[in-house]
Amino acid sequence: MTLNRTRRLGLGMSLCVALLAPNTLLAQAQKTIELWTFLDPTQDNSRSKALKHVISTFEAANPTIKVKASVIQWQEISPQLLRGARAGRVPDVVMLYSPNLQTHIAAGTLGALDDQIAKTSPANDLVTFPEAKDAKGQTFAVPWEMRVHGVMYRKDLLDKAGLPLPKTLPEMVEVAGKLGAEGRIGMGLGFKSSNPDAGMAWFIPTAVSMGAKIIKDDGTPEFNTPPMVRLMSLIHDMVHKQKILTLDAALLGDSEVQQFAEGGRTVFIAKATHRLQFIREKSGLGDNYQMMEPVGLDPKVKAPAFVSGWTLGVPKASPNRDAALKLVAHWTSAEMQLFQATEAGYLPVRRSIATSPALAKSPHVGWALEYAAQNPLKFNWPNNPDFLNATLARAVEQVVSNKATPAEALAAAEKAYRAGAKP
Amino acid sequence: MSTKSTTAGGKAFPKSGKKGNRMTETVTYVALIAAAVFALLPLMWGLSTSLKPAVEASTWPPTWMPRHLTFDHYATVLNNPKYIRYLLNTVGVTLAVMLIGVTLSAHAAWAVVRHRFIGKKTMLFLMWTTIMIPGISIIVPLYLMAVDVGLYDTYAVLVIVYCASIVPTLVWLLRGFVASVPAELEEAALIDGCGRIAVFYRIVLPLLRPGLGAAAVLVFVTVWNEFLIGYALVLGDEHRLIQVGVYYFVTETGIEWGPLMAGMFISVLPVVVLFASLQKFFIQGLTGGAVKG
Repeated sequence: MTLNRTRRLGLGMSLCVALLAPNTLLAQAQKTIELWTFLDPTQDNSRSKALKHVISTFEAANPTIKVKASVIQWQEISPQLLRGARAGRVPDVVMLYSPNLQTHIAAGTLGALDDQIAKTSPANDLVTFPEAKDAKGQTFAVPWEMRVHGVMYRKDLLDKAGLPLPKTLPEMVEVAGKLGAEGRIGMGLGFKSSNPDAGMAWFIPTAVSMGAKIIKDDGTPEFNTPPMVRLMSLIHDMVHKQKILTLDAALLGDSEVQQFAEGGRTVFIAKATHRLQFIREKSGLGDNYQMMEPVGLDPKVKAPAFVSGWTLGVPKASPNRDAALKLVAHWTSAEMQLFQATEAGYLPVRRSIATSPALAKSPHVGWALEYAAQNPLKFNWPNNPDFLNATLARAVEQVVSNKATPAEALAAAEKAYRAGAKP
Repeated sequence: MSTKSTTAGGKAFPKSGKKGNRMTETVTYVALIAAAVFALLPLMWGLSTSLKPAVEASTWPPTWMPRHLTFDHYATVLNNPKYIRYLLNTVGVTLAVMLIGVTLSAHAAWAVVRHRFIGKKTMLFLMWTTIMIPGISIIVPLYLMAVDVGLYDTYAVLVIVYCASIVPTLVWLLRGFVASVPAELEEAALIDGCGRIAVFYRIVLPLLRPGLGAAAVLVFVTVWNEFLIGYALVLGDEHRLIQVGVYYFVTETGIEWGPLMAGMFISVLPVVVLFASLQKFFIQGLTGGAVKG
């Protein structure tokens, strides 16, 4: 049988269509979602490898979805998202640090994730942060890791001096005074108002443990109160009386104060759990750096734990919301959380994972999660926490540099906060 | 006996006696050494940090000379394909800005020196004022415009913005060089039948070579060291420039001092080499047009 030219052409075209159609359909179904991350999945460190694993296992489980990781400097993600939302350039999934969430909720950049959280199994297994909720109780981001803010200390120095772990702030000041010689800083705290987060992560829970409210239920400030004045006086005395904190250190920011710890020069330093491994490695002091729970004035009143963490949010304008939600679900799954905890030392955000025997090797995971669960920080987070932190840190700067008394500095800070805080 | 030193123009400055001269020289050298130490000390400290293991970088008391010399941080940086990409991006953008910026500026400088047109003085004044505007104050509008026109996170936006920001400076710089080209040469060429445009390309441009060199060096140093625009108008790794890439060693858990310093030294190396080899042009650029010949 011979085919004429037209038929041969038609057959050839049909064959081409038949061969190409599946690929074309696959290409049409293929989606690429963009993730804004501060971690680079191509780097050779445990946290980057953990992210790479999350993405590769997600892509394997969802062959039609590819994840494009756009690496953005960690401090820049939040402002970048605010600008991007205004300009219509947002990713599908974004990492946001929990203290920044209220800003985004107020700005309306994120979509609610309650439906997604409701699907989590077992129910209530996933930790959610109060900062991730709006006034109606809707949740706009879920954590993929968390850290508990406590105190890092030099165990070797305490052991050598035969001193026990302090149970209260005055005890800590006393121990720091005894060990803070030879160029060491007894208490590593920095309150630079342009970089106040770490200092305030210690200040706010400590003030709350002393009975301060700081932000009232109606959102107005209440700074100039006896507990706040007392805490300010304690910080002032650390610098000028006990001399366990140098003035220059007190006026520094987080990363600068951390340099003292990396040089092995701090006895105590207010830090969150996620920094422990980094400081151990950089200082070369290894296990000599340990973490302890935060302390307050009264041994009977536990200082509340400030828990923060990097969360995942899905911007309202995400072009691929369904695929984005799948990635969030995958990342916060029990399997991924266990992997992250064992391979990269993250605190898991699944309650069921926290008690896993596989995490027994992580010495700070157990106490940190337990302490945080038992002593949560109850605090009225404003929608502008950066402004609150900067205002309070400015008051501390004034006090430690003897430019104002605690009461004067707090009164001025309260006035400044009232004037500058956006409702 | 008095000594004399000579100025660039060949005229002699009368000088005081030998003792006074030696005193002046000593003070000058002491001041210059102090200034050099002030400028170089942080760089030397950075170099030292880049050659120390991570533990030694933060040790107390600090060590000036690395106890354990290591090139690991340089290897870390150079083995990172992203860092190489940032370097190549910077080279590409810098060359593009150099080409476009210098070309535009040379034409513009010739136009403002040799031609009369309405609003010339106002235009020059406005160009001058744009040099005074701090970059940070226009970064948000620039960002919004870049997004609106679909150029955000592209090489094009970097080239356009860098050109726009540097062309006014270059025009002012090249004005002096164009003015120093005798107008009679151009007139003679016109009389000989050369067209106006041909006069520029055949007569003026070859004589502007030192000025163009100075302008190119200025563009290179400015764009290579720029951070703010590269940071604000580019999002992903693909188009990121080297100075922004180096900033990524400031991580969420702490600062990676060793790789940060190694990355910084690798990034400044081309500028140092170029500046050292073309220093003559740069100095000419600074003084060009200052003295009418």
